[in-house]
Amino acid sequence: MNNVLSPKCILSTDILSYLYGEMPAAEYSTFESHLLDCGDCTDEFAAISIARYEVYDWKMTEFEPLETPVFVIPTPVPQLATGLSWVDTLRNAFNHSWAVPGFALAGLAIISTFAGVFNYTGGTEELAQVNSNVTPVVESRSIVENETLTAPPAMAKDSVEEQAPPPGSKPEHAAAVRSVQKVKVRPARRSLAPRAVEASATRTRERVVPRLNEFAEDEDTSLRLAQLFEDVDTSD
Amino acid sequence: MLTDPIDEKLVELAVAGDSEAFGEIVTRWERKIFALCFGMLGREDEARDAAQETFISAYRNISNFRGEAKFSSWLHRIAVNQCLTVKRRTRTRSEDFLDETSGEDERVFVAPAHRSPARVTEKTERLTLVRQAVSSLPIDLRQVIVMKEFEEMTFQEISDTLELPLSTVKSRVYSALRQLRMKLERVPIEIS
Repeated sequence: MNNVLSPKCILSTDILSYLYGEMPAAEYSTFESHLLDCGDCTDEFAAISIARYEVYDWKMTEFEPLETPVFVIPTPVPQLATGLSWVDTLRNAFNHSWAVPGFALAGLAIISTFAGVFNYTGGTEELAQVNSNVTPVVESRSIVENETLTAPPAMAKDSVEEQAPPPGSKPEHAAAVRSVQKVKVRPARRSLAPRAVEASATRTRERVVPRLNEFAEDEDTSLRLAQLFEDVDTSD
Repeated sequence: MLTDPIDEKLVELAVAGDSEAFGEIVTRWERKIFALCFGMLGREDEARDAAQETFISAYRNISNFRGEAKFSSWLHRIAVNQCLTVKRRTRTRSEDFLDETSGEDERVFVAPAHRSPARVTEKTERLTLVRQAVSSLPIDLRQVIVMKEFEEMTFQEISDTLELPLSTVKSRVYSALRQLRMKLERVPIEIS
């Protein structure tokens, strides 16, 4: 710095500090006393002061009147203020020890509720419709194999009553009716899925074969019901 | 500060009692003396008063000027004396009124007085020259002068920001001001 400032005086290095007011307070009086006695420092200080004032005047004239731009930050700040995104919120929710079992139980409860409601409303009706379309005279083996496809007790009872032998029927028919009565009738399972019902109904339809030679011609209702069942099946 | 033969001639005429010659001296030096006073006092109103007192004192004592030193140095010393007188007066007034806010840190720019169109034009031209002079500085000198004058950073803050030694920062500011002074040497000398 001495090679730039006036080398004639040691205190000339303090000119800038004095000019910009960055000199320690205790040194001001010393420098001012020196300034009165040293012509070189006085001239140097004057030259630097002139240059500085030109820049200062330029700043005050052209830059000081300029308005500082105002930056408006919208409030409230969405997401940025909290710093939590929806992913973070979801992650925090699963951080608890009870969260995973709790959510799993809740999910199972919801699924069970939906399945139960469906079975109570749609599933039982479809099953009843399928059972009503089945030919009353069926083989006992086919019903036992389809234990999952069961009808409500009332419906099963009606089915049995419809199969009551008319007066004067043949012994074979009576044996068939007895075998049907031995079949254990279970209440309908509400958890039965629609597809299972359809599959069971299809298997039932395949195995129910009308036996025309077992009945009298005037009471051969199985043939009429089978034709009706085929009509329903083709319409779907 | 270079010795100007015009100053020597004007001083001779002023010592002989030519008031117009002394008026010409004032015209040539008023802005420089004002800048010196502003550098010492930091307030434009006080600097204007101190400059006026400086020229009044010079006019009264010009017969004592023997030419042993440069006229500029003689005038500068009168100005420094006036500024120190103003500072002492201000300090005493501050102590009387227990005004702790006034002092070295209080540097307030007072809006300049109304100027004639000729002065406005002259100032516009001078500002253009200052702008060109600052723009022509090397980038390292222009950087520190902008940080110092426009952002009003201290030398230590500039040193920390640029990661330069404090002495290097002061040296660059000093070099920038000296180069500006040389570039603006031909600017007409007028006080606002």
